[in-house]
Amino acid sequence: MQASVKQLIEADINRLPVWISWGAVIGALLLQAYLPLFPSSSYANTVDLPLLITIYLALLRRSPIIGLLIGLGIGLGQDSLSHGPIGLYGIIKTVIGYVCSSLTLVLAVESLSTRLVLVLGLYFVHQAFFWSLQRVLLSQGAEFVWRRTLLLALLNCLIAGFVYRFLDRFRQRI
Amino acid sequence: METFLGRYRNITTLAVAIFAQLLLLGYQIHGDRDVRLIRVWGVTAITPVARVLHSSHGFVSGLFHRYVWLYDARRESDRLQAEVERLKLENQSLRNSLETSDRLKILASYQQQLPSRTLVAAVIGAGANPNSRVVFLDKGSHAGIQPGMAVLTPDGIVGKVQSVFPTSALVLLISDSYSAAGVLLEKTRVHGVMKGTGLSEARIDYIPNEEKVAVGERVYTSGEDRIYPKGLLVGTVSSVQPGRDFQNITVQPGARLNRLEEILVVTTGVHQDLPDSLPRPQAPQTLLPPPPPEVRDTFLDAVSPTAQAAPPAASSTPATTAGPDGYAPQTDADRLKKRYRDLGAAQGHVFGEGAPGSKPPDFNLGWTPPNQQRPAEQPKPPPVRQP
Repeated sequence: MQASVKQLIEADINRLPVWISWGAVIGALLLQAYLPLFPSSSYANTVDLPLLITIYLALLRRSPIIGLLIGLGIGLGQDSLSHGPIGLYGIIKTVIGYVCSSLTLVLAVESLSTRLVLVLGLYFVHQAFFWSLQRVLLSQGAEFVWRRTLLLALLNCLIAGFVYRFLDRFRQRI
Repeated sequence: METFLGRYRNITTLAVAIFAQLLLLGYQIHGDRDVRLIRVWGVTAITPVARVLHSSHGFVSGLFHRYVWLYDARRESDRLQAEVERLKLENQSLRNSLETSDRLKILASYQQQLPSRTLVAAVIGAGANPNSRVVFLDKGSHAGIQPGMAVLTPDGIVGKVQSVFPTSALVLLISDSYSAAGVLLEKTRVHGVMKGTGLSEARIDYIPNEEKVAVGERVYTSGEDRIYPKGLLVGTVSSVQPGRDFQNITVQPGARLNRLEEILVVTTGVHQDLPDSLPRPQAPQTLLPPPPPEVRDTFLDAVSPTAQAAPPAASSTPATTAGPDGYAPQTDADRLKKRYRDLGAAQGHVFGEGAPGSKPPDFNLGWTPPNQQRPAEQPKPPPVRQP
């Protein structure tokens, strides 16, 4: 019985080609670091593409360890391209990746709407975690603006819809 | 232990990962040091792609901007073309305004020179009949224009007011076949009647064949028609042919009748003399040179009464010697005046006090003709012809 359930679960797994995964990660980091350079795309930094890719990849991998490793790698990559201390985004995205992968074990996350709801909630978690670490570890008195965070969450949710639909085209059923 | 780790492998891994990163953060924050290795890895992994992306972006951006630039260039070209057209129209309008201003200045200057009182009006239209030579003015009876008033430009007369309306007036041009004006020729001053021919030129009637009229001679109004004041330029003689009794003379009007824009309406005509623009024929003038000083002084001394009473030695005194009053005559007129004064004093006559009809002083008192005083005449110098 257990074997049959496992087979059903694995049969439902869709894998993304490795080069697409790496391309998505690098592309997200690149755009996150590159787009804000242009005056016409000064609002690009309001979209956390590495977070969206972390969630997407972690949801594909139904292994919490792989999910946290994905988050760890993307977070450290984001830290390395920023001027802040390395590890800040790494910790947050590690947790996000872990949570996402863990959720796949209890939730059906194949539907786009479910994933977008997860993005909405996890963006809040991400921002709250980031704010907490800033205050606790870095002693930075940043203010948590709920309304702005909500608007940014909705914006990221919207962007995630396009990004996820685009990446879903490359998914392969195994 | 192995069972515990195996059971909580995921959360343990998460805790280890977070703990490691916290240590990393603590290392950076408390030690104020940077984990350069990780940053180098990240940057090294991203930079080549970023460089390619940047180059691609530059290429695409250049292409895009070139396209946009071309698109803008097209739009800019269209806009500039429209701007050029607008400026051309504006330039033409300004040129017209400038020319109008110049014409009005000339007209105002001519208006001030004229002794007649005039009114400036603009030509706003021509007659509908192609055989008639008429124009409409933008002023009429409200401006004081009346029928029969002369119309002219600085170049010459134009015609006369035929009909007057409240705000406009109809002017019959001198080229119209029903138009006539009394004229006189500049050189010979012979009078005639200029009549329109319906063409661009007019003709002058009643100039006898024996009168010498030259082509190019100016024709002025004579004032005899009681419309055009005397002395206004009409035009120039363009052709002269002898006729049966009178010459056939055609006149090219001075005013550009086919390009009238602003004109003057003579409200009160005043005759004026013909301008002396051309030298009038006259006899050649000759001016004799002044006589030699010794002849002139001898003559003046001989006719002077004081010279008659004075001893001969004194007669050789130059007339320019200052008299008792300190006045020294310099010219012949001065000497003559002095002689008259001396003559008056010798005869007890005071100039300016004699009643009309009273006997004047004898100005020949004591005068001896030079040929009797000096039989040998001085040779006269040849006359000098003055231009």
